[in-house]
Amino acid sequence: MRKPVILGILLCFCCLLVHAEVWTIQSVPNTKIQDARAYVSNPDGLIDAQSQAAINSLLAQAETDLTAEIFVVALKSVGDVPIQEFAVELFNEWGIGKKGNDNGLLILMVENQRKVDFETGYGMEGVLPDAICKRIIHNNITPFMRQGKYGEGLLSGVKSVVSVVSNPKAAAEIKADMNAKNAARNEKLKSTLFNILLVYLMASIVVFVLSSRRVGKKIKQSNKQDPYSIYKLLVTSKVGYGILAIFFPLTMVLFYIWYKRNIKSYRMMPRLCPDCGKPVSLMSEKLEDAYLNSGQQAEEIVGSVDYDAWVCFGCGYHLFLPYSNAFTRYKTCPACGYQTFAQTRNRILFAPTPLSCGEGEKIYSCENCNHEVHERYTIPMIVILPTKEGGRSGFDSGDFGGGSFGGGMSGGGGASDGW
Amino acid sequence: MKKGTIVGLSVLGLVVIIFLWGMGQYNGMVRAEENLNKSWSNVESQYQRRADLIPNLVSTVKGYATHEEKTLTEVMEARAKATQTTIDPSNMTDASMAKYQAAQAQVGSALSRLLVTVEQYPNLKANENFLELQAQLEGTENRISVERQRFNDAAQGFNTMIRRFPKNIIASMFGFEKKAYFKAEESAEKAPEVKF
Repeated sequence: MRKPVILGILLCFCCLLVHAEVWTIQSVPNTKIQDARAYVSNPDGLIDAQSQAAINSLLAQAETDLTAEIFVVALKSVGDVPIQEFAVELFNEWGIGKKGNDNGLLILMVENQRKVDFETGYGMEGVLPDAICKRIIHNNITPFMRQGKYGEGLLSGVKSVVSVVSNPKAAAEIKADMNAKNAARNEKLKSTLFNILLVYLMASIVVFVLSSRRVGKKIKQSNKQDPYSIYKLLVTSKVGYGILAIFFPLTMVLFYIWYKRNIKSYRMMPRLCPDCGKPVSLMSEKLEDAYLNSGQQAEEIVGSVDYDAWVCFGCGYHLFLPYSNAFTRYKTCPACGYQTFAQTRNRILFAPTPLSCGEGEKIYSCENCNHEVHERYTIPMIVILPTKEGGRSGFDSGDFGGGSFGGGMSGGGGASDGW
Repeated sequence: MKKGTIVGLSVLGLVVIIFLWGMGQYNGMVRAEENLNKSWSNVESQYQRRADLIPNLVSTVKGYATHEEKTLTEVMEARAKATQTTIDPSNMTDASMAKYQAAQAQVGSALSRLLVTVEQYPNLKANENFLELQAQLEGTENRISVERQRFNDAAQGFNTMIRRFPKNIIASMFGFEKKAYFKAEESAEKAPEVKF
């Protein structure tokens, strides 16, 4: 049972070893994933360490200055696949160059085909036309290759490429597209945002209509005819301002205004005298005082309850309707029963110390009957907190993390030459 | 709510959903077709690029290879014929595609014949201008094959899309038709060998 498994694993290893000689698009190591500053994939060790380091530093500088992604791959064999085809596929698989700008360049060397290939991204074609690529390969790379100095050849090629792309005009062209692309993307984002806003506004209106219809439905369901009862119902019912405020603040404001006006219209609605059927009239604030007792007047003065007095001049019928203010601090007085009772003073009798509790006194009094209530309360001891001391620890990041290519595309531009 | 209202509302809702779904499908197809048109114009522009290189190449070769009048005329004739053969991307049939492909293949083979004859002229081969043209021609051939491959991939995606249920209903309703591919042809598939 065990043996076949081990044999299988061994077989796999053998396959890998044999396979490692011929690289495929998937098997070529993308060194940039592990280290964003590695611009050379050298799995067969064809490039010497010194040249590799020099190439890396040149290309890192090029990426920082020009955003251009230039990558060097040196392989022993890719099988029967033509070098150009392999290069295009590898380029697009990895997405060398910044997306949209396509300012990538792949320099691929395949030893057993004795060829070097430059593959340019769409955005690089203007700066590095095929003829220039060919000339660089022919003049600066292949002479070294013939002597087997692969590392030096590629380094010299990279040097000439960097000198071509660093030319101010070329650099501007490589980077220019990026700005245009960004502008286009911003434009698109703007229109998307505008659409979202439009949809949101429409939704707000729909929500507003739905909420106001719900109020109408509630009134209908409660089966109340009398405006005062409807008023009470509307004041006490929950309308879900919280939810509205979170999702549709604009609707909330509109709805609040509408709701307040709605409530007011019920308060002000003309009524008929139940005794003689004539319309009753609403007394002004001055005139209504004649109908109110001193307790009710005190309530009106402190603003806790507002009274409406409706009087029928025909038969002398009158109706008092109290409208309590939801935001008042006055409570109902335990002595006279009017809503004119509130805290008037708060004094400290003994101040607290770190060793003992203190004591305070709140005094409530009624504006109507002057009834007073004294309420004592204890004040907790003063607690002294130990002050914290100690160093702060921070994060420290060391090396560069992994990176990736920007998603550039190549349309097959570039050139190749053999030695 | 009355029963009639419920039924009416659900039917209305269903109609709206179907309409919205159909709209999404239709828009997806329009997008795919536009994409395909774009990749077709990429193919065309690469062939155009090759056609633009030819007069320059011919005049350069003429200066050195005085005895190759016949080959040069062939190249120019093939080029003229190919530039006349165009396809309307909205009406792409297998027949028109084959015609287009044949015309371009003619140019390719005439070019490769020309480049073979050039072998006999060492002065020409050392000419800087010629070397650059040759590099550009190589790059263009490479670009052509890349764009052709991309076009074929896009066409295949589009054809699969419009033939699959239920998209095929919408496709036939709005007259989306199957697009033609580039066929792998013995003579056209291989880029002309321009190695020396």
